[in-house]
Amino acid sequence: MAIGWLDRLAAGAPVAIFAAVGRDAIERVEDLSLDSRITWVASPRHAEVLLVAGRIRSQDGQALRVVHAQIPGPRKTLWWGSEPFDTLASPTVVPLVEDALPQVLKLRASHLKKEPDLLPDEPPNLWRGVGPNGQGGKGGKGMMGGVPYGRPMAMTDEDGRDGLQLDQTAVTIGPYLQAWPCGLVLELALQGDVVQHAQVVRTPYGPTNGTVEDVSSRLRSAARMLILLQLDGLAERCRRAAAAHDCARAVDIEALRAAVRRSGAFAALQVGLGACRLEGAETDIRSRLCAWLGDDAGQPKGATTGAKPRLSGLLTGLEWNEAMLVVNSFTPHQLRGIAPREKATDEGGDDEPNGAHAAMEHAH
Amino acid sequence: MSSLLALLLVAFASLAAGLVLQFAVGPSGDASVSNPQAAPFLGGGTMKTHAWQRFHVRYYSMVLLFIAFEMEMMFMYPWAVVFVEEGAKALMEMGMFLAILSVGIVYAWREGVFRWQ
Repeated sequence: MAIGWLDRLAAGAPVAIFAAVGRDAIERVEDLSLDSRITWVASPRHAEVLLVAGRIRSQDGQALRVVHAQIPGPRKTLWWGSEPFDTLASPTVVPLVEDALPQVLKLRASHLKKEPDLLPDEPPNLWRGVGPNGQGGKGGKGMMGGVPYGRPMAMTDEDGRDGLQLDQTAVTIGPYLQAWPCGLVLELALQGDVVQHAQVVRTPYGPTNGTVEDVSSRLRSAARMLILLQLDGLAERCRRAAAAHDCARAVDIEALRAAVRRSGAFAALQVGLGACRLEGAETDIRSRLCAWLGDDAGQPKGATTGAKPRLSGLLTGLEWNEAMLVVNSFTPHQLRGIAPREKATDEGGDDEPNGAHAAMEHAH
Repeated sequence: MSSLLALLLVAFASLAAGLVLQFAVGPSGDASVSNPQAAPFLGGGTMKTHAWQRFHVRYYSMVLLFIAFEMEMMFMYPWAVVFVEEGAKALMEMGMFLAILSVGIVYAWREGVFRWQ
């Protein structure tokens, strides 16, 4: 009895979706998330429905499988303008030009057969270690080195700040994070939460349909930054303004900028963070956010470097929260210029290897 | 004795109520966590190394300084109580103690503890 009552109560709550965004679909997902019947969650752990929006690169297939497997059961997937995996029996597919909202609501209400796990339910690495805790792997000395569970232990390397020898974690991150440039995959060496090295494994997608930046795309970029600053309400206002601008309605950017200023967002962004020369002007994250909100006067006061920017260079030495802000402080067009592929993978990088370099020339 | 029994009864009753509540409104169905779900969420990315690792506790110098000053205060309170009785001897002893302690503080100073980074 209690269960039925709770079920009814839960059915009235907004649908928690996790969006895996492919090519040319981020605007559609952002507009969809404006509906109050939907919450766009940052982690698959909190999601009921996986929304796969836009065409997914073949190289990102494994990442999508991981995210799919990380959604707690009974998971449901909506393929919005994307190609479903062959292993799924009866996937729900909607073309990108159609509205996904009715389908999302229908999916939640439906009692479909349980979607299978696309990844085997076993440890990602098999036990290959030696000793009671597997710590003494081959080639290890004592507690150092070794490959417990088939995965190497973190080895020491110099800390970028003071040269101390400390353990360094290697992770690949992306492409399916909430406030993250679509398609970007980075390989990071982390000490604690400080980025020691960064390499671009797969380049971010360019701007949607190759369009130049307009008011709407700038507002959307500002919204991504505001989400990182935990100003979700303001981010939503920015997205609403962008959606209104797309429908050729008047947008009061002055009022938006005043609201962002009042919120203290500009004060929260450190002057000189992510400073680089972009399109002939010295900018940092604060001045870029200013410019997105229609204020070109906000020039950085801190020291800036005139060198040719590289995303990996800008991220080195930053703490993770700062790195996220810097990554999101570029428009898709700018980011494509400064983040060329730096590391080849087994799957062979991007679909268009030459696109990034062409854009890079354009950025300078 | 009777009050003890009553307490025991209340304890058991609340325990039972908690269990009943858990069965009544707890998550139903498959709430188990699979291996991929137990892995950290990295937007589809993976960890290349184990998470068992050492990282620098960068506030450690602050902790040393705190302990140095705290020890000083800890011994100065009882010292202040007996100071009048003991007189110059107590003053001498405390002087020696503070001298040793201040060596530690001077060392920490040299290590850059007072420089905020």
